Amino acid sequence: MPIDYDPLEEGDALNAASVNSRLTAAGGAGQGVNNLSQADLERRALRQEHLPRIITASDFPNGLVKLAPITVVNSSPYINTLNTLATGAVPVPGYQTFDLGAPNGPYGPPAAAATGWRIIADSNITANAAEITFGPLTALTASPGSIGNYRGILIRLGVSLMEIGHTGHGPWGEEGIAVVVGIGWEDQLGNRSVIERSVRWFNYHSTVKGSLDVFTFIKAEDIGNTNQINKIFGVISSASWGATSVNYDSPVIRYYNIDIIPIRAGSLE
Amino acid sequence: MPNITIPNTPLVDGAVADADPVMRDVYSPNLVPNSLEVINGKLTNPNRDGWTIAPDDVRRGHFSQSGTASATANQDFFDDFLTLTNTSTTGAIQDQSMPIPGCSITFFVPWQVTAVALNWHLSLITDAGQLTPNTTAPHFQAGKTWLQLFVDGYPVHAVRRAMADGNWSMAYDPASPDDFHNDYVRTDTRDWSGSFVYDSSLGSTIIPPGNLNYIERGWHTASIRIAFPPLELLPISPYTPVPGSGIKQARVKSRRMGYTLIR
Repeated sequence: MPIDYDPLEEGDALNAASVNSRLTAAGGAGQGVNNLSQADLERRALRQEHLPRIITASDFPNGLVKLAPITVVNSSPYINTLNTLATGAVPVPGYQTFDLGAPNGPYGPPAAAATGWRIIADSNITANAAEITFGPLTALTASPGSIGNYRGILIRLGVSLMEIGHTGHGPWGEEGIAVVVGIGWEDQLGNRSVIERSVRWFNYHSTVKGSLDVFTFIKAEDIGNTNQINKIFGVISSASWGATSVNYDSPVIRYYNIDIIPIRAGSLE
Repeated sequence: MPNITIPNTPLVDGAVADADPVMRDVYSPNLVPNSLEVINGKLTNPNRDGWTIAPDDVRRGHFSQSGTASATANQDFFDDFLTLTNTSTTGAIQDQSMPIPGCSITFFVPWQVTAVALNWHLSLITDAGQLTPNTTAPHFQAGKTWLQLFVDGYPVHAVRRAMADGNWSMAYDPASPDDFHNDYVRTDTRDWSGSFVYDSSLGSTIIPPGNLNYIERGWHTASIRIAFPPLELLPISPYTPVPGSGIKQARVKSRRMGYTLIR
């Protein structure tokens, strides 16, 4: 509120109390310059010094980015597939299936062929995973929708492809073997999901380039009303649209990086 | 700067009046905000009473700023001066990698920010000097071009890509110059649409101590740099490299580097 200053006038007592009250009105706790309101300021008067940060640091205690360790020369092949055990002409991709088999599933490269996603983690070490823990942030789906203080969360993932292991050749062309990557999230209860619109197939005889990059924007409706999100991660697998063979070629990756950019829009509390 | 705390109230009736404490309440230019002097341009966010900040209250660029550099002309890099002498994480990689014009940018951070987000894209094709047309060769065998992000001149090792060769579209046999080695099975132009965020959690893992932190006020740089590691230095699994061969030339086509400051 504006400084409600009561000036001393002729006849007023000039004593400790009268001086105290005026100093308090100008700069006491919660008063005067310690409690400026919108009406006290000219339009566009605020500069960056007067503004809060748009990203609340306590929401992301582990930071906004996670990088692969540089001490590992080469990750093992990710021999998990989305449809190893599927039959039929067009196997159904298991976009919500995680490979929980030993060791340390779904983190890191698996030791044996299995079905489902693996969370990218060099040398099967969870601490090295392409994963960021934060929040938890509560999603509210009522318009305009929010996740914590944010309208949504932009997630970007980059993976360096080293090789594709030659354990066998599948068909070429549009039914060919592919490296598949995507972005997933975890709720406060530990339930994992993959944002299906983030999933991208890289067929290695056509478009594998050395860098597998995907991104997605997570909205409140992806999380569900009043549900919480506290982790995001990158997932990888191999797959084929047309083959039923289990002899899939497996991606060998090296570096990866994943980051969060919380998107804030509208007014700031 | 936090809320001010006026130290000399309450005055006490009956005590000897002392002008100095009273005047220090009104004006005392200290680092600790303890007088009304903070009105002289030192008010900060805690002085706000919690009202919701609307777009009309702020000025352009105080929450975020951004910029982009780009180029489209073909640019050729040759192995005569871009071949790495080793692949350690310091030394050669910093001294021998070359920034790609158009995929590099210099920008100013006007005040400390929460994070700097970088986004880039580049397209390139590499010529690994294949002289035998249509020879069946394992994919990725002939050579790779290393591309790596550098911030303020320091390499970000986790943001390196080895772009497999797309060689035969550019190669020809000197004994038969009309014989171009197009191989339509192999991939051709490579693209890298990369991204990176720097925040305080990275700290000296990226920028060594004693150097300007990337999120602090000042001028900063970001660039994608290119180098050709000789094949004998690359990890060999699952292929056997061919000593003496490798990337001969890389032609960088369109490229872009952008930054966004996030307060």
